[in-house]
Amino acid sequence: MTPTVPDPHPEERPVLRPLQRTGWGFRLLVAALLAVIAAGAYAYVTQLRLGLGVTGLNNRVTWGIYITNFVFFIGVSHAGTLISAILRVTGAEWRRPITRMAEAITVFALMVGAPMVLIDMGRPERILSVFRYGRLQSPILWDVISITTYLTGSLLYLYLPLIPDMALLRDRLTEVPRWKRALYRALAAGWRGTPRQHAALERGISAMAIVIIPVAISVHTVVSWIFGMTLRAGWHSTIFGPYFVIGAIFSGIAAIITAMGAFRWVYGLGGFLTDRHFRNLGYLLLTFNLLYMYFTISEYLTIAYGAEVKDTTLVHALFYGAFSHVFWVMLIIGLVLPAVLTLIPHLAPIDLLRRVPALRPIPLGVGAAILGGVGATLHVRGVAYVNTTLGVHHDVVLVAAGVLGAAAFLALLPVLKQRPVASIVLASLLVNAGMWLKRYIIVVPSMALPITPTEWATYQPTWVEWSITAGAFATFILLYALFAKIFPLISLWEVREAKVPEPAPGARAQEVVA
Amino acid sequence: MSRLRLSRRTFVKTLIATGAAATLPSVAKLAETWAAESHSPHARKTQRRWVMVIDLAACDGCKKCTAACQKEHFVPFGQEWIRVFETGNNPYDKQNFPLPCQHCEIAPCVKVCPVAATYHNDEGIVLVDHNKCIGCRFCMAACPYGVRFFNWTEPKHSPQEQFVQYSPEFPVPHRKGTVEKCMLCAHRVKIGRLPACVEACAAAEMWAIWFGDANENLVTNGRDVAKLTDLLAEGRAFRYKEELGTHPRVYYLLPDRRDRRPADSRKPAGKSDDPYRP
Amino acid sequence: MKAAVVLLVLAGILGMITGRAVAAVSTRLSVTGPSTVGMGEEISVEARLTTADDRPIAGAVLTLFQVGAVGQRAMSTATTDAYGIAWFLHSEFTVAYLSLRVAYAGDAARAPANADLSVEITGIEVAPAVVMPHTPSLPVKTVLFLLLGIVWLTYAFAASSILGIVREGGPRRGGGTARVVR
Repeated sequence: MTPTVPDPHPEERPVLRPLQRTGWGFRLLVAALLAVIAAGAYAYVTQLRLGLGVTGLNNRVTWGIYITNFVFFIGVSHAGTLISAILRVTGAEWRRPITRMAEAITVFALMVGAPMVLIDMGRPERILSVFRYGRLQSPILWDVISITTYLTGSLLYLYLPLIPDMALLRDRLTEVPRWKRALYRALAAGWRGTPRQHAALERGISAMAIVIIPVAISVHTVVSWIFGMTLRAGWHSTIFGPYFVIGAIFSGIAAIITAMGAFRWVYGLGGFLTDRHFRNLGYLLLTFNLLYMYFTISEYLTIAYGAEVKDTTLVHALFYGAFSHVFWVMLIIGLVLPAVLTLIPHLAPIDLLRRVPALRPIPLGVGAAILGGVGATLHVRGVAYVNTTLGVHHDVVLVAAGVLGAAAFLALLPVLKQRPVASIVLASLLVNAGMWLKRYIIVVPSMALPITPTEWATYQPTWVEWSITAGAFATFILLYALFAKIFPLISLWEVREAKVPEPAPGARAQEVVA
Repeated sequence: MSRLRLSRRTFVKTLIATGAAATLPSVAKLAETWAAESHSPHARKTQRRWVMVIDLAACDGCKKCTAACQKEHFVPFGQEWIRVFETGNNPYDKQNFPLPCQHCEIAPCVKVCPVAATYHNDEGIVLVDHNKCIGCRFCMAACPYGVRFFNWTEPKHSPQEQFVQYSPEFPVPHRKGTVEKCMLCAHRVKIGRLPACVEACAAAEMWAIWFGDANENLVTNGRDVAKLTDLLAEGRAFRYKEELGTHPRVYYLLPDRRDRRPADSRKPAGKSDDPYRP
Repeated sequence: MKAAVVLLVLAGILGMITGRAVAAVSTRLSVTGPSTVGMGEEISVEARLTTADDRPIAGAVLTLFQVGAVGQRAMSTATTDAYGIAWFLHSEFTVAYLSLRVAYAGDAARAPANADLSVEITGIEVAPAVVMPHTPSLPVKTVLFLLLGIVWLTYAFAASSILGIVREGGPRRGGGTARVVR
């Protein structure tokens, strides 16, 4: 039934529309995600049947991209804490439209990240032994305890500010399916907006906002201690706790910006997620970017300067050796480019780039075409053919690709300067990718490093690992997409509160009746 | 409105009251376990403390220890519970370096195991209980000696293996998804036999591996019986990665204290950059 | 009579087969020594070698062994005097529970014999086989669980506010009082 009274909050329609209508785009997305998840499930069944031998893991590199995913998702889960809890506690008013999305990221990232450890286990059916025989001195137990605590807390922290919005949906969305109405009615917990209910809600939210911060910090510290407590080069480091926490918040901010960008674009939430939000989060992203650079430099400088054999072996492999391509790509796309992109409105010389002829579309296009041709020949005919017939060394091709990529990026900068939101969203995407690579750089090289008189070990993830990883990311996106179809992505009541000057308790009661 | 409006006093009061109520029973239980722990059995009179001494001067790298170990334990393919490394850059510098589990007193693997699947038995041997192991491989990440192995797939089972009754001291048949390692032949030691590698080394007339009880200060290589402390002093013994503080129970006797075997009988090792020459 | 002859012949054959052993005189070895000494103090072991009928054997070489799980190690030798007695002196610095054995190897005329003795050496600590503590200490556990308890109690506190909201809301069934929050 349609409301007969005029809608008092027409600006909220874009938030409510996704809950009322489901388009083909959404169905296609869900179908695609389910396909990816099914492939991941098939890969996992294969792994269960044949054992972890179907992965690229071996007796030297015993942890690979499953643990990389685990650390990555636990890191992403810090979005909710920072944006929501810290901003709430410090009373930052601009946080209001983005808290819900941040809190949801926390919950879903934990739901996807924690099972990665289960997938990595050789005997997943014995998972309950961790509770039966659990030994408190094992960092895995610390992880189990802190992640359980964090997941419980973040669910509670997601739910509490949902209550008034659930009541709002219960009363406003009368034409949605029956199950949805029942769900809203149940989750609204009888909310009528009385002063006492408000007081109770505020009490609960405040307590959770405070307690969730140390819990979140403990979670990623403990994750880092899984590595830090061993005696391996590159892991056994005292800064690992804060290094991981800063990295987690960094990638968490990137995740929330990515989500905001996606939803603003898909659902047209520009009225709530304004340029100001992107700018503020962009500055936060830059701050943590610089902090992470600082930690990275102090980590590697310390061990390289001390120059213990095992440390220099590791650093050499990262800087120049087998892992250098991942390492430098991580540094460039995860730290350097995002810093440039978040600073873009303040970089005046960027406009000068428009005048550089080499950066015009035509020369760039020609360069890309030539390089593409050589690259394709390289791929089809092989390195030897390209070397002899074309007289081009394949290293030259790689360098040329790098130069061309840099040129394309430079050519893109003036365009991005006109679109600060787009550049911040692009920065956040790059940070997400970079931080995943960083986790790979943390996990794998320290294991591949020779600790006995042998050579470096090798690790090449197999299709099983990649499928399960893709499935994990698809699950995360699917959970989020489904959440966006059932719950409002913007905390409507909190946004309204910011607009209305704080009323006296009596006035609130009247508002409720209206 | 959304700033903190929590009634602090009520909050703290409730917290303390319920906190005390909830934690008291658990504290009492903890005190109980603590009391039990402090009465843990003292070292028995005949407390065994098994040690191994590997004489690098005597080892010629024949790998018969590895073969005997694999036969004894039906070791799954791809694992070498005692592995003989070759170190050194050139034939004159070549050194064989057998590496079994070091059975550390302060074992990093035992520390990190979440379910107590890897543990010290009461004779100081580090064992793995494959009925408990969850296959998280944290112990493999923690081990600084790289002597742990994982059954990545279902190991091939030989017919004889099927008749063996599993125990952590003789972890056969092997199981998929669990961690394996040298268990210092706990099953043989228990009945007064020497570990398989020691016997094999003696049978090869090299007598490079010694085994015995440190509390008795007696070790044997299958031919001679020696005083452990004398052997270690004369052989200028060291322990691998002593600086890590793991207190290994495997000692190595320096290779260079006696005349080396002629270099012409050795193959070039071909290892270019070994960061950890023992 | 006839039976006795047969027995004698059989005994002779047996004697030829087993050779010396039957011919050798059986011997008896007894040791005395302290049951407890301090670390580094002299352990004086007196061994007496006699024939089975208690006649002392002089000039026999006896060996003192340390016996262990993996074998025995000769430590010193001594020769018996006219009374069949030999003395060994030993100081122990490393082994707390010393198992000693005095052995007589025997010769063509006499059978071998040995005798054992255990000595406890005070002042030497028996190193435990298991040194690693297997659980964190009580204070550590208590602090950890207290911290964890505070967190979960705060959760309970926050969850209780939901109950407060529910109580205030009262029962709401059907769509009768719909649209109160807009």
